[in-house]
Formats: sequence, C-alpha cells, structure tokens
Amino acid sequence: MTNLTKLFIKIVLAVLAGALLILGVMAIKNQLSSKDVTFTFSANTRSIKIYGSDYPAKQQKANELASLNKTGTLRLTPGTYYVVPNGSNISSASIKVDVAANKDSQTVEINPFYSEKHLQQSLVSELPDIKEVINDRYPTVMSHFVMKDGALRHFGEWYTAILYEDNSSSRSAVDIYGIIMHKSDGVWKIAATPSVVFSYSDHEDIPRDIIASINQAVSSY
Amino acid sequence: MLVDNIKLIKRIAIIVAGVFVIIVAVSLLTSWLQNGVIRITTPEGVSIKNVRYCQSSCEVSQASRIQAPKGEYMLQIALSNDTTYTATITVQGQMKETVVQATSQLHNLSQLGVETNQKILPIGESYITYTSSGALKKGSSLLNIPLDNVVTAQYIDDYRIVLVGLLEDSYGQSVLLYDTRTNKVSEVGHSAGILSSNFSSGTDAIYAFNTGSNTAAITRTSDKITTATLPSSVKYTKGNTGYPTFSVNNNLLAIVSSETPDKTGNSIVNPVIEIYSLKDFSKISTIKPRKEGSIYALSLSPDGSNIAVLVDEGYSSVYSTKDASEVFRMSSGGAVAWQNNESFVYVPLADYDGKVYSAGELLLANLKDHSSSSIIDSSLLKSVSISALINNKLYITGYPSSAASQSINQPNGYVVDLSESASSYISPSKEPIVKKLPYRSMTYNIWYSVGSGHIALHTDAYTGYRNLAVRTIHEMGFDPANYTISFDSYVNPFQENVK
Repeated sequence: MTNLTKLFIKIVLAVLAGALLILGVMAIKNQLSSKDVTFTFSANTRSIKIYGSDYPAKQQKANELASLNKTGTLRLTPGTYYVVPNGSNISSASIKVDVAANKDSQTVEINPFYSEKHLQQSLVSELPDIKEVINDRYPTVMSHFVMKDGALRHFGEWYTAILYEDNSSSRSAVDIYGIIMHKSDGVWKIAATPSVVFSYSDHEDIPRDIIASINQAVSSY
Repeated sequence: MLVDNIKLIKRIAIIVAGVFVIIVAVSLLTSWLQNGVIRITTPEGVSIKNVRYCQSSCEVSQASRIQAPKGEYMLQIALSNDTTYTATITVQGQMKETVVQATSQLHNLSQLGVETNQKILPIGESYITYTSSGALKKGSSLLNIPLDNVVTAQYIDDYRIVLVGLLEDSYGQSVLLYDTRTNKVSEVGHSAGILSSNFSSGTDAIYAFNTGSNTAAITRTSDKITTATLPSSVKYTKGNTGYPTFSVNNNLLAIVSSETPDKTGNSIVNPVIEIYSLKDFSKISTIKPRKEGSIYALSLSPDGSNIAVLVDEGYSSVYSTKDASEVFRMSSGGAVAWQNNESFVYVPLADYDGKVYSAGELLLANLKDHSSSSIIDSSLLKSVSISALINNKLYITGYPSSAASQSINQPNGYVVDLSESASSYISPSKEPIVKKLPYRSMTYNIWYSVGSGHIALHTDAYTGYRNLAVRTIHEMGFDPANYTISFDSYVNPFQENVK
C-alpha cells in the first residue's frame, strides 16, 4: 500500500468520523430540545395520527410523524402539529397543537366534537323539543316564518338554523335570520335572539366558531 | 535678483493666505452669530416627511436638524403618520438650538351619514343638514320645510336650531326656529334685505345684516328678534359679495372696513378690521392685517379677546382685539371653530405641491404655545369643511379617501369628539376597515362610527338587502362578527314579538 493510498484512507476516515460526530451532536441536541407531550383520549377517541405544520396544505399527503392507539406520551420538538383523531361518532377534523419551547412537558386533551353524521342522527330526536321552544317563545312571528338548515353542533349541545319569512304569497324580498340555541341540563334554550348577524362581543358565552358559521350561513343563504 | 523675487512672492502668498484666513474666520463668525438651528423631535416610530420653514419665503427640508438664519419662522411639519404640526418659532443666533416637539393627539372620526348636505348640526340623537339652496334634512329624510335657501343655521339645544333662510313664495330673509319635538318651523323675524348673518359663538344670539338700510337685526333669545340701527360712526365696506364681512359675540362687533374706502363701498383697498362695543358701538381697536388680501371671514373668540382674520391664499392670522397685535399665524383655507378662548380648529389651505398639507387636514390651534397639530388622520378624507363645534364635538363634512366612494356627489357628515382621551383613539392602521368605508352601492351604504374605543358599523340597507350588506363586509375581508352592526329604520321582529 502506497503512502498516497494510506493518506487517502486516512482522509476518508476523518471525514466519516466528522460526519458521525456532527450527526451525533445534532441527535443529542434534538433529543435535549424535545418535550414530553401527553395526549389524553376522550372515551370516543380510539387513535390519533400526528402530522407536521405542512398538514393544512398537504392534508393526507403530509408525512405522518407519529401515532398513538391510546393515551400516551410522545417526545416532540417545539413547533406546530396537527392531530387527526379517529373513533366512534367523532369528527376527524384536525386539531392544531402548539408544542411550547419554554415548557418541559404539556398535556393535550383529545376530545373531538361529534361527527356530522352522528349529529344529524341525533337531531331527529332533538328537533321536536327545539321547535317547541322556538314556537313557544315567538308564537306570532313563527306563524309566518320558515326554519331551514337546522344543525346540531359540537357535542350536540348547540343548535343553529336559518329563519325567514314565508313570502310564497307576496314574493316580496325578505331578510334571512339566524338562530342559536343551547342545551343545558337537558333543556333547550334560545342562546341568542334571532338576528341578521351576530357579534362576538354581544355573545361572549357562545363559542366563536358557532357565531362565525351561522353568520356565514345566513349572509350567503 | 531671483532670490528677491522669490521672497516677494512668498510675502504676497502669506498676505493672501492671511487675508483668506481672516475672511473665512469673519464669515464663520458671522455665520455663527447670524444662524441658529431648528431641531425637530418626533414621537417614537414617527418620522419627518417634510418640513417647510417660512419667513418672507419658504424653504423645504426633510432633515430633523435645520440650520437657518436667526429670526421668526412659521414652521409646518408633515409627519409619517399622516399628521401635521405647525408652530411659530424664533431662531436665535450663535447656533443656538430651538427644539420643536412635533406631536399630535388624534381623535376618532365617526361618520354620521352618507351623502349629507354641505353643513351638519346635531339635534337630539340625530342631525340636521343643509345647503345654501335649502334642502334641509333631518338624518337622511328631507324635512318638509318650505325654504328656498339657508344662509346659515345654528344649534341651540338638543331640540332646536335657529336658521336664516328664504321661505318659499316669500321675499327677503326670515329668521326661523325649528323645533324637533313639534317638527315645526316658526318665523321669529323677517327682513327684506338680510344678505348676511352671523351667530354669536356659544350662544343662540343671531345677528343679521340688512344691508339696504345699514341696520343689524339682532336677537338675543332664540324666539325674539329686535332690530338695531347701526350709527354712522360704524364704518364698513361690502366688498365684491355685496354684503359686509363681520363677526359678533355678546359684547363685540368686528367688521371689515377700509383705510381708503371708495365712494361705492364695494371695493376694499387696504382693508382693516374695526372692533366696536356692541353696547354703544364705540370703537375699541383697529386691526391692520399683516398681509393685504381679500378677507373672507372673521371669527371672534367666545370672550372676544381674540379674532381670527381669514385671508385668501392662506395668509390668515389671529389678532388681539385689545391692542391689535398678531398672536397666531396660520395657513387657513376655510372656517374656524373656537373650542375655547385659547384654542380653535381650522382647515389649513392644501399645498399646491402637496409637501405639507393634504386636503384632508384638520388642525387644532393652541394660542398659548403658538402651535397647531392634526386632530384626525389626514389620509381618511379628501376634503373637509367645518360646520360647528358644540360641547367639544366637532361636526364636519367631507369626501372620503376610500376608493369605494369615488361616486359620491355630496360630502358625508362626520363628528370628531375632542373630549376623547388619547387611549380611546383607534388608529386606521389597526382597524383597516376604516379605510375601506364608506361603501356605497345603488341599493345600500355601509359606514362606520367610533365610540367607547370600538368601531360600530351602520347600513341603510332595506328589507331583503340586509344580508347582502353583511356579506359585503365579509367580502371586503373582514369578519362581520367583530363589529356591532346597526341597520337604519329597522326593527327586529323577534325582539318585538317575544311571548
């Protein structure tokens, strides 16, 4: 073996050793910066898949980073993640999770709202009570108003629908109203007086996504 | 011989150099003695766009430190936050620094209505608007008052306004009282020759000139008019308009006269302002404006101690009525509205070059420190006209800058609450919807108002278009749920019909 060959082998070994050292340092650094994130499942949640911040853009094509089949803890580096739950009667809409850099560990409760299909099935049994409450509260107006596109939301404790005057005889222009109802202690109540538009500040006890969705439905009906 | 010549050249060179050094030293010394420095400080995050400093002529700079010959300067500073600051300063020699703190306290601009008339006055929870051709409106509804024109109008209280105008099928001008409680107008005075009238600041007293007979129709209460004949000692000129330019308060009459009146009294050469006591018309002082020009308006302060003399081409000033001394200098392009005896709001004359004043400026002048500063973001309006300042609320009309409002034929009505604290100001940069409104379409308008530190939206959409108005807000890129939205002439049937 010539001296030149020996020198070449030494250089290659040195480069390999350097690369291994760098990779090792990076792995240790990554491990040190990772945080313990405990995911606790609701009764209806069977499993979750965890994706990175590219999930909104790539959806199912995004790389799956981890998964859990029961309540458990994962080591995750600080950043934004999306959790896609799976289970019976639950929505598979992704849940955004931010892993904070300034906390050693954190707990994320995975408690997805009910699926649209389950909410639609539940509505059948709830609708008579809902209609009774509305008709009882506004007997005069509801005698000539029509209710459409009613839907249960979240865990079935919120209900939104569209109301408008039945103008089939006059064909005159009408305003479209939205109604928001809430079920508490097994009783349906009107959470917000039917309106053309609802504001967050006037209804701080109503979840924002409920208000945004009924406003959108009413103004585009 | 050669050596002698070299010595001579050396001596000449030394002398020339000596003279040069002396000249430079003298010129540096003169410059040091004759010049000073204007140093401008601005609030954090705000920079200088342009500085115009004027004596007999003006210079423009973008620097915050300006070297200028000693003397008195009118300083106009345009800042990066769409505000303007003006001050009259004295620059001293010996390179002494004169520090100017260019600050402003901005107030919210709340819209009262879309395409109102030229003038706007509050009445109760609503407002009255009018133009010189009559068209008196309460809110957006035309009032059924038979007026061919309105010379002027003034707020009395929450229910009443007094106005001077021409009743249909009548002659001359009438002094009228409109009461919103009865929705009726009663005539409290009439004159065949009233061509000009003026209101006493802060009171309901009205003064109207009957130019034909040299008399002043005066009312000290809103429901009784009395006529006083001006003594011949009161000299005034009528100018091109055919009627005198004057201002009154409870004690004084200020009127434009001339040092060299012509026989017709219609041409004003060397104009002066004569100040008389209203009690016995004895002359108190004569004010000679600093710059000769056409005086288009006078405005006495509430206590009469000062008077704003508004001259064409922006050469306006405020003078003391006691000794006729100039106490404030400004470039005013419209009416002034006194806030109290030491401050007033004015619209500066927009620049031809647009370097300092934009057409949407509204400044609050402070006589105590000889300065004025913007009270609204000048990027919001294209032009402004002051109607009245009542209970610290300034009522103005103007055309919005927003691109969506190009088709507006009449100005919009706005109110600026000057009593608002600095913390309640909502910057248009933080509420970008402010710059997108008012929205105007064939079927409905959307505008905004500001109260208690938040934006409220309003629309006059009729039944069947209200949802469309809400969708328009969404399509502009804003979440309607972030605002309280009120609908004109609307009752929610579900609120009315609760069991």
